[in-house]
Amino acid sequence: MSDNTLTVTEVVNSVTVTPVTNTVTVSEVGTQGPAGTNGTNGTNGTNGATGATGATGATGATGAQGSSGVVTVNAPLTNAGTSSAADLSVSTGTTSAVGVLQLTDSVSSTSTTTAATANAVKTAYDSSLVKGVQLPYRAGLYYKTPNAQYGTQTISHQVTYYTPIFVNTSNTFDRIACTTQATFSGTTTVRLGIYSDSAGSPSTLILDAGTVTPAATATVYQITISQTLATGFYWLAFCQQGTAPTIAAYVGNANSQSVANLLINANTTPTANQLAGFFQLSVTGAFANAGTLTATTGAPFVYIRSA
Amino acid sequence: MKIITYGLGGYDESKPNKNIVEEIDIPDEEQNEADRQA
Repeated sequence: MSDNTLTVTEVVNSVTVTPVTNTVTVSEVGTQGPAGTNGTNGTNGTNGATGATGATGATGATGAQGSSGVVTVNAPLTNAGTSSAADLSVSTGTTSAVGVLQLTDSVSSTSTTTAATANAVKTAYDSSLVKGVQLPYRAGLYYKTPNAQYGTQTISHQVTYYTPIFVNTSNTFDRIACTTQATFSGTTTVRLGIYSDSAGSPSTLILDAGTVTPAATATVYQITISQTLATGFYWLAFCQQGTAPTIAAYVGNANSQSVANLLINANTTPTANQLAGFFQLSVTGAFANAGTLTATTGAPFVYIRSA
Repeated sequence: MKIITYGLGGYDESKPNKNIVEEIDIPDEEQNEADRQA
């Protein structure tokens, strides 16, 4: 059967055949449905390692030649070379042209092509007040505090007397001295020295020259020294020590004999004699920096000799 | 007038003549002239 019809062969016996009323329908199996759609793709794998650096590129071509330089200078600059090989310098200055100047410490030069240092200016300033009244130092001469006259000064034992002096230009001195007067009597020791000045009074010890031993009248006692003093104020120191003499009379600035100069033309009262310097009590042995000072109108002279 | 000169350092017992290196007598006339000129 292929058309869904039942065929019955005719037989002798009667056979009632009830027509089949039902039609059997036999269907063929349908064709297979289409396949399902594909699943989604899996995720990508991780990236691979970075590749090696590439080789260095080739050297570039040489650049084009540069243009020639041009040097233009203005005074005081000068150019002794060429426009492409400069040799620059600064011309020397004069009183009529700007330029480079050599520095100098000299305070006596008459040059018009050098310039003074600050040091030279200070030296000139320090000596400006007395240059006109004090001659330059002369070798072999003795210098002391510049009072008008000298007399007899009877001094106290173990007291340092300081008298001022102004050195008007740097100078070396080779002697320091004191002098006994005709009335001196006995034997003693005198220490001599030099102090710096600070604000008008003795300050720092510069030289303790040592001692002399006065034992005779009218005699100069001096010590060899080698002391250079720069321009400025100083104090010459005298101190009688050891055994006191019977009469301690030395050449000095006696009372009522004023210091006739601008250095110490003063006193603690307007009616007193002008000061000769300062004294300091109870000084024994070697000198130290100045201590307690008292003004005095009388003091023994100390001399220093120019080398 | 006499000038007595000590060497560097002044009086020194350990040195010959106590470090007196020179003694000079100045004639009175010379001294007076020096005083007069002073």
